[in-house]
Amino acid sequence: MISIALPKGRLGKKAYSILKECGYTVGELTDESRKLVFENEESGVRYFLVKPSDVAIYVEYGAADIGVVGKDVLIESGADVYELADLGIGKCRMCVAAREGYVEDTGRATVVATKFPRVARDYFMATNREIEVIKLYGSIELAPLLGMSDVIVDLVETGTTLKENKLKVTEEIFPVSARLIANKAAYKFKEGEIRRIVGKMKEVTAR
Amino acid sequence: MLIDTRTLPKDERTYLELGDLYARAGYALYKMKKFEEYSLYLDNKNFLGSESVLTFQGSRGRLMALKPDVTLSIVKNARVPENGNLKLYYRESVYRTERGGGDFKEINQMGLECIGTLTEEDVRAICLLAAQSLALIDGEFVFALSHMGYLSALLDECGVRDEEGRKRVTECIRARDAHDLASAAGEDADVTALARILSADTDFASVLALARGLSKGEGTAKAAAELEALYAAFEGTPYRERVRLDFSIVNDVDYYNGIIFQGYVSRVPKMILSGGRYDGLLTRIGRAQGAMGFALNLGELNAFYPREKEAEI
Repeated sequence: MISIALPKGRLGKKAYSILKECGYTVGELTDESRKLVFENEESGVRYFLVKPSDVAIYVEYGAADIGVVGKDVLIESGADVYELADLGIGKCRMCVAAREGYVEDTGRATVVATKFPRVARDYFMATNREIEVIKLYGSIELAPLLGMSDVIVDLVETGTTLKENKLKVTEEIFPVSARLIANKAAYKFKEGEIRRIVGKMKEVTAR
Repeated sequence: MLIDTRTLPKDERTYLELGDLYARAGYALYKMKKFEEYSLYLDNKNFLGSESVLTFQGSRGRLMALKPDVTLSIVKNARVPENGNLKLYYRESVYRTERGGGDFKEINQMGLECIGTLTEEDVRAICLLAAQSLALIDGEFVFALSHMGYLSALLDECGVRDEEGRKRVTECIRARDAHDLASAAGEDADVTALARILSADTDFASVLALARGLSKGEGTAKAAAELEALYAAFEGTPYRERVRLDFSIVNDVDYYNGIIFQGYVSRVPKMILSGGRYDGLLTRIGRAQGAMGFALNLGELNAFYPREKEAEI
């Protein structure tokens, strides 16, 4: 039996539709119900629906053998897991954005509002720029508009939200897409099954 | 009074059994202090793989640290004979954070070190002892080998030469991430061979054949030959089918230069044993000797092997 952690929401639904095409079905997998575990002994899989930011943790601690997680969440978590495939879904970019016309004041630390403090610190540290991080959990775009931060570090899909709030991308940090991850110990003992799933998922996503 | 060891918690029983195994293999117990001067760890932070060290002020203003690692203390303090080698085993606490940060933890470690003149026979014997150690904990184990000499030479052969590129590629190797290799390595490198190695399974014979096939230089060929000889040493042992070749195992190349390995047991969802050949550490402190060893983290065993389940093993 392989345990798979999927993120609740749009990405989880897309990932499950790929897994369903691969034959790993458990009937209707819905995050509207209170049920969190879905199992099918015949296809040998058990799914957990968890908060997107928790997928990597479930996998790292071995509660799930494999999982689907955005590259953004994976880097932010710092989880020590295998990253076996880029599924090519949930594509967006991790960016630095600021108000239109913003000019960096190099005489003081830049204030960065973000849901991704580790990503922000690593990125600005690599370019030797001093920053002060404000961790937020949502509506990040509001921070520079209210003068709380100079810039934001956040995911940008189409850029519409930024545009509507008179913000623009100033730097692109890395491209983001969903990754298939595996617990390192589970991979050692279930290598054949996990590699079969990876192979099938790659075939489906390559079509 | 005789104590029935079967009634002991799993970690205590394992300490006793491993101590007996290492003593029978000619290793002497080595006790050490709980702290060292901080500079020892600062100078070798890449060997530790972490900068998180618990420090405190010692006498005469010296900055001291609670040991985050045992090997560095042994290498620094133990008297190694000029000819031959020193074989030691230990059971000690180390203090460090998990990879990726978090709070400091006291981790109970047991392990062994062999320092001095190391023959191929010594290397094989240490690998066999590591596999035996895992078998003592749980018959369902995996002993995964890799070779820093092979990986380092393969990076050269792929044209990944600048330090930053090697660091990024090493992170990809550690995560078995073949899809980000090309962008991590940069435009001038051709990482096809590395991607093939990472995409392969870990069956020893087939990965070794692949590694030989991808070899284009003396460094990779020599390392592949060493791995082949090591695998042959497992022939006739009950562990052979549990030995894998897994090039996603990677350590700091400045310290580790040869065989490296990790061990897993089926009930524990994290690595339980790690080790390898670290002549580079001795070179860095100006000693022309070889060294190899391994450590087991046994502190969490009781959580995965509660007493009532012991009878099932």
